[in-house]
Amino acid sequence: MNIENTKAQMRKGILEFCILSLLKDKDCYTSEILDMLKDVKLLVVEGTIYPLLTRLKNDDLLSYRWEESTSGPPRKYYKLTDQGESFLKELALTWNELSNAVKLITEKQLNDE
Amino acid sequence: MNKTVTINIAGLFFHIDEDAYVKLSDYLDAIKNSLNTEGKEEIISDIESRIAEIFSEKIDPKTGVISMIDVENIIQIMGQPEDYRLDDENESQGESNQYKKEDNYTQRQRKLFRDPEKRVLGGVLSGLANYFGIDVVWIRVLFILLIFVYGSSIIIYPILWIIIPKAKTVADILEMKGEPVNISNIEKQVRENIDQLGNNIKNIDTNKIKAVGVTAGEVIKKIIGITCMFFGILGMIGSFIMLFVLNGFTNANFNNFPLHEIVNIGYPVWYGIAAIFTSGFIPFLIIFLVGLKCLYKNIKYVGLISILLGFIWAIAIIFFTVIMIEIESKNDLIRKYIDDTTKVTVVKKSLDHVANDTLNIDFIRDPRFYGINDSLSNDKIFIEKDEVEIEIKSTTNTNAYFEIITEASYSKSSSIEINNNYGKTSFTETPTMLEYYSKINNNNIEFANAILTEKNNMDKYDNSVKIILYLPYNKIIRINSDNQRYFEYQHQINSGLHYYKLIDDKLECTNCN
Repeated sequence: MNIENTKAQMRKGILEFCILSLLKDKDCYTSEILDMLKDVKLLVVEGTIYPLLTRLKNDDLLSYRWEESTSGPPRKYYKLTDQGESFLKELALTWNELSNAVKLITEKQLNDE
Repeated sequence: MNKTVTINIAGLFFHIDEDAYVKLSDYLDAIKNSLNTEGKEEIISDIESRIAEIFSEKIDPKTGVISMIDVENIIQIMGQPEDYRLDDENESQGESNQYKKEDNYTQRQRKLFRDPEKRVLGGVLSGLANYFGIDVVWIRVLFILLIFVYGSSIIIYPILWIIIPKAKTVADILEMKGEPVNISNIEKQVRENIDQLGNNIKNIDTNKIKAVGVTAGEVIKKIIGITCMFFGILGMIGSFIMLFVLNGFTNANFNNFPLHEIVNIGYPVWYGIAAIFTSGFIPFLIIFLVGLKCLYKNIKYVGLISILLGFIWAIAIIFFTVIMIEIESKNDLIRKYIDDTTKVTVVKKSLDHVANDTLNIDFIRDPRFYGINDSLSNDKIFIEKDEVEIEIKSTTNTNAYFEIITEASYSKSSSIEINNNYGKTSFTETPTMLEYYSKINNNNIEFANAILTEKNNMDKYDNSVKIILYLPYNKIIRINSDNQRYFEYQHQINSGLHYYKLIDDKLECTNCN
């Protein structure tokens, strides 16, 4: 089993949740989202993000608007829709349950060893 | 030195080195190929605007040109084409259901597509080969063989071409090959595609290659090409078979075939064989080359080679013609010599003494054939060499008579020998012939049923005997044709002992069934 592959799978799984969480407080443009995700090492290559954003937008969880930029091409600012907010709430609940479960399991395993 | 092109990404202008441009354009194509989702265009434009953003940040203000290194950095940041695929697509719920369904039920089951990668015409046969999982060569062989079964493949092929869809997307190609549509396979396929495109990219826009279908002209050209190659190969194989057959015949004495005559006039026999082979082989080789040219445009000098081959062909033909003319004039000479030396004798024998009786004609073996007490010996002095011809004619005389016409002549081979060794004038010997045996005993007539020749002279002479029997109308004769070997009749004679009557120049049997 390829460890890099597994790691990538794990990251990709929670990527959606993280993007929605980032947009909870303020609207961001693509590069901002990329930078934040890269800072916390959740993203290795940028490629993954584009299809994901498009899908979230197509699923009406996100909306966007164009804004002019002084230093480059116009920027796409993403915003969480109402539907996105409720989706995020549910995801957050699930995440809490999951992280608790993972914590319990892994800690138990560690204690046993 | 490097050529620079100007590109427009997300509305911004950049100068970019040509090689870097090619790389970038390849990369974007590869991403396009790996994406399978809706909103593909939107994703690409997002990616392009991100690339523009990075370029405008990192561009070297001195030169203002984007280099290969910049493009490589971009790819480093953005990731490989497979990174763009959301591999949880199959598991995800909701809107992407459509894809889920499609992907699930086609997995591992081969689908029939035309294979554009390995196509000769429409890719039908390579598609079938993929579907059945066997090498395409066998399918092609089968289809060529099917041409001979009432030309069925000529009808089947276009129908299959119309009804089988072409494999267009990466997913199609994987389904066609029966590989599951998953990320690693798509990645593999996309790499292969990039390699393939990379070869063509220098001159032609990659998108154009995909867009251009097979035009009618191309198809006709290919059909002509395949046909030409097929018949060319067939002809060339045939020529080689002929070469071996002729070689085998070199030693055989073939009267109607000019090979040994070539030797007779003093040329080595392979002159003739080479000339015949060349004049047969070259046209097929040219047909084959033309076919090859129709199929593969990059083959050069076909015209030039064909002209050269044509010259060689013409030389072979001229050479062969000259040989044949020499043979003919030599043959004329020999024929004339044979005619000049032939000794003709006509012996007429009257049958007046059997005026009112029935004539009994018997064909027997020449009594000289068996010497005394040597009927069991194989060492005979004589052989029965040639046939005797008999003709029955009507006469207004009241009585019957017959003529024996004998012609003693040299055989062709001995004439050639005489001409080559002695010269006509110095050779005074004339052809000889044993006397033809016939016996009249009252109304019984015996004829020898073959021309007897001394064994020693067997090849030297070419003798002939013709008997003409003149009969008055309504004269009845009895012919015993039990021993008729080597005997040639002009009239229809039944085997056995029968009575015949001459009516209206036709010999009619009076007691046959």
